[in-house]
Amino acid sequence: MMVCLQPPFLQAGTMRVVVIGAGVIGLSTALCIHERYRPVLQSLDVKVYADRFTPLTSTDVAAGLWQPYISDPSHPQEALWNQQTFNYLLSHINSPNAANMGLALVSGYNLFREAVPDPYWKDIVLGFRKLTPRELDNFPDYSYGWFNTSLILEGRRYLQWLTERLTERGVKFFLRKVESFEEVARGGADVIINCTGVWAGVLQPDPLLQPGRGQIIKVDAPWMKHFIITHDPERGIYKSPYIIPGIQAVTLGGIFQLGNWSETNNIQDHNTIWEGCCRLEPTLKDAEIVGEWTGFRPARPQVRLEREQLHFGSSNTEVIHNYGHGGYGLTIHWGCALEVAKLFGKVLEERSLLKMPPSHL
Amino acid sequence: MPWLLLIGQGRATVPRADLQAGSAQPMDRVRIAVVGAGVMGLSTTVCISKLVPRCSITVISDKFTPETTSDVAAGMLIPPTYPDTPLHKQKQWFKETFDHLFAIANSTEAEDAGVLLVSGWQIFRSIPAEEVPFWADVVLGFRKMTKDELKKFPQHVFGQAFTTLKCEGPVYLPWLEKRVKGSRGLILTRRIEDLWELHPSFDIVVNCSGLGSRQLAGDAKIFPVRGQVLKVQAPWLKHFIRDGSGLTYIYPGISNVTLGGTRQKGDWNLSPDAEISKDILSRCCVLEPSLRGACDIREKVGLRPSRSGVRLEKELLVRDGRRLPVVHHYGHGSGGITTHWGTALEAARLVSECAQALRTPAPKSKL
Repeated sequence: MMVCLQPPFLQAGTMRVVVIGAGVIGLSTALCIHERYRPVLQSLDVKVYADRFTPLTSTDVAAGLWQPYISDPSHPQEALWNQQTFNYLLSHINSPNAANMGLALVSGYNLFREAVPDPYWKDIVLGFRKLTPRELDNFPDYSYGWFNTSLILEGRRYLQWLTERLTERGVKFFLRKVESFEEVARGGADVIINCTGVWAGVLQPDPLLQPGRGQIIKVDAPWMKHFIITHDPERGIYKSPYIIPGIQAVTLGGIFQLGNWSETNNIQDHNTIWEGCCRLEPTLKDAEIVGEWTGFRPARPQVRLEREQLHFGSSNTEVIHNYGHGGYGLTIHWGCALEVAKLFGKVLEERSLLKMPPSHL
Repeated sequence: MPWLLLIGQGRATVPRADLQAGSAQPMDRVRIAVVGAGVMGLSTTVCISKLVPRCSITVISDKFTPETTSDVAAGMLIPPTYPDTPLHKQKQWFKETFDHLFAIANSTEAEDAGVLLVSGWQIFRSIPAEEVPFWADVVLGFRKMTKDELKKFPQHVFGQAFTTLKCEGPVYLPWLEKRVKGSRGLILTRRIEDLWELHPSFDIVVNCSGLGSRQLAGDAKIFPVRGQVLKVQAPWLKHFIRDGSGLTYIYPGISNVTLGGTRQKGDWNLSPDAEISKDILSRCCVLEPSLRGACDIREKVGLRPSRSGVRLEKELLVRDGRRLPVVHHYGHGSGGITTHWGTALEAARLVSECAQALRTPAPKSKL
C-alpha cells in the first residue's frame, strides 16, 4: 500500500520572484531560494532578469580565490556568511563534479612587510600557519607571511554550472535592462531580489556604493600551483601584486581604483600588474598572456542585505537587497544567499503562504 | 674496434691516439666517457665539467630523453629509504638536490628546466612508526595534517603536509643536455655491451647505466621494480596526494598529472597493462573523486633501477695489462630524481680523484 504524504506547508496563492542580476550573487540566491522553497510551495516561480550574463559579468573577471579581507568586517554577520560559504564549497570538494563547478583546493602564500595579527578566518581555511624563514627567502621584498589551503571557485565555470542547475529547475532567464523596481513590480513580481552589484545605484541611489575598478592579466603558467598575495597596508587592499592560479590560466592582478568607471584595459595598469607580479615571481617573465580584463568590484563599507517594502499602486512589493560585496563576492556568496532565503521565508510567512519555515533552515 | 657514431647535436671530436692509462707520462686532457643519458648520466656530466679541469666528456647511451627511465618518473622529491646507505648520506644527497632545484624553481630558468614547487599531503591508513621522517626539515613547512584536513580522506587517520619540488624528466633532461653541450660535452648514440669497449679511447668511465649495470658491471644486486603510471589531464589539481604505502599517488605537474602506481619486483615488462591502468585510476579516484573527469589518459611504464643501496664508488678494471678506472653511479631505485644532484656531486668528486691519479706521474718501479 502506498502512503502519500501531504506536504504540510502546501498553500494556494502565487509567488512570483524576480531576481535582478545574473552574477554570482543573483544566480546563487535564485538557486538557494528555489532549492529551499520550491518543494514546499508549488506556485513558486523564479525568473532572472539581467542585462549581462556570463561571460560579461563582474564575477567572470574575478580570480575566484576564497579569501576575505584580512581585517575584521565592519558587519560581524559577514564573517559568518564567509564561513558558511567556505564550508558549503568544501563539502563539494570530493564530488566528481567539483571541477565542473569551477571548484578546486589551492594552497598559497600571503606576504607582508612586517608582522601582522592572524586574520579572523584562520580557522576557517585549512592548515593555516606562519611562513618559515626558508619559505620567506623566496620573497626578498617580504619578511612575514602565512601559508594556508583555501579554495578556488572560478567565476565563469561556476556561473555556467549555476545556470545549468537553474535551467534544470525550470528557472527562466531574460536579457533585460531593468530601469526601475516599479517596472518589475507592475510586471507581476511579488518579490524582487536585487542583485545588481555595482550598478545598484541605477535602481536606487546609494552613496555608499562605488566601483572598485580592477584589471587583471591572465597568463598561461601551469607550473604555478600556489596563490601568492602580497599586502601593502599603505596602499590598501588589492593594490599590491597578487598571483592566483585558476583551473587553466593564472590570474595576475593588483589594481583597485575607487570611483573609476572606465571599462577598458589601461596600459599603465597593465604595466603595474606585470612588473609587480614578475618581480614577485620571476618565473612569470616568459609566461604567455592569454587575456586581459577589467571589472568593477561593487565596493561598499558593508554588504547591503535587507528587506524593503515598496508601494506601487495598490500592491506591496517586497524587495530584498543583496549587493555591495566588494572584492569578496565569491567568498561570501552562499552565506548571503542563505540569509536572503531566510528573509524570503519570513515574507512567505507574513503572506500566509507558509505556516512556518521548513525545519532545515 | 671501429666506432659507430650517430652524432647528436654536439661537436664531434676525434678520439686521440691510444694513450695507456697509468703510464709515466702525466696526462693533459683527461677523456671521460659517461655511460647513460638519464638523469644520472647528464647531471654527473654537468658536475664533472664544473669540477674537473682540462677534461673532455662524452655521454654515450642507447636511449635519450624522452625514452629513459627518468622520463617516466613523476619526479616528486619525496625520498625513499635505502637500507644499505647510511641515513646521514641519504639526507645529505636529498638536501643537496633540494637546494639545487629550489634555486632553479625560483629563477627564470624554472619553466625551461621543468622544476616547480608543489604542496600536498602524504596520508596513512594507520599511524606510521615514524611520524616525522628524516627529510622533514629539508622540505618546506612540514607539519602534521589537521583533523579538518584529514576529513578529505575518510579512510586515512594520519597525514603530513608539506611543500616540495617536482622535477620533470621530459623537460629537465633536455635542459641538462643543453648544459652538457654548452660546456663542450659530446653526446653520442651507441649501445655499450661491455665497458672495455671504451678503452683505450677514454681514460675514465662513469657508469650511469642504471639497470644496464646488471650486464655492464656484472651486478646481480640490481633488479627492476616495474612501475606503471598514467599521465592525465586534470589541471584543476594543484596538490600532490601520496598514500604512505607509496603505491597510490597523484602528482600534478606542469602539463599533466601523474597517477600511480605499481611496484612489481623483478618484472622487466615495458608494455602497459590495461587492467593495471584501470586499477590505478580506481585507486586514485578514491583519494580524489574529481579525477573521474580526467581525460587524455596515457599509460607509461618505467623500470626502477633498484638496489639495497646506491652504488657510488670507484673500481679499477684490469684485464690483460690494461687498466680502466670506472666510477659507478647507479642503483637509485625510486629515489633517482630525489637524490640525483647530491650523488652526481659525489660521483664527480670520485672522477676528480681518478683524474688526479692519472695526472700524477707514477713512481718509477724497480721492475
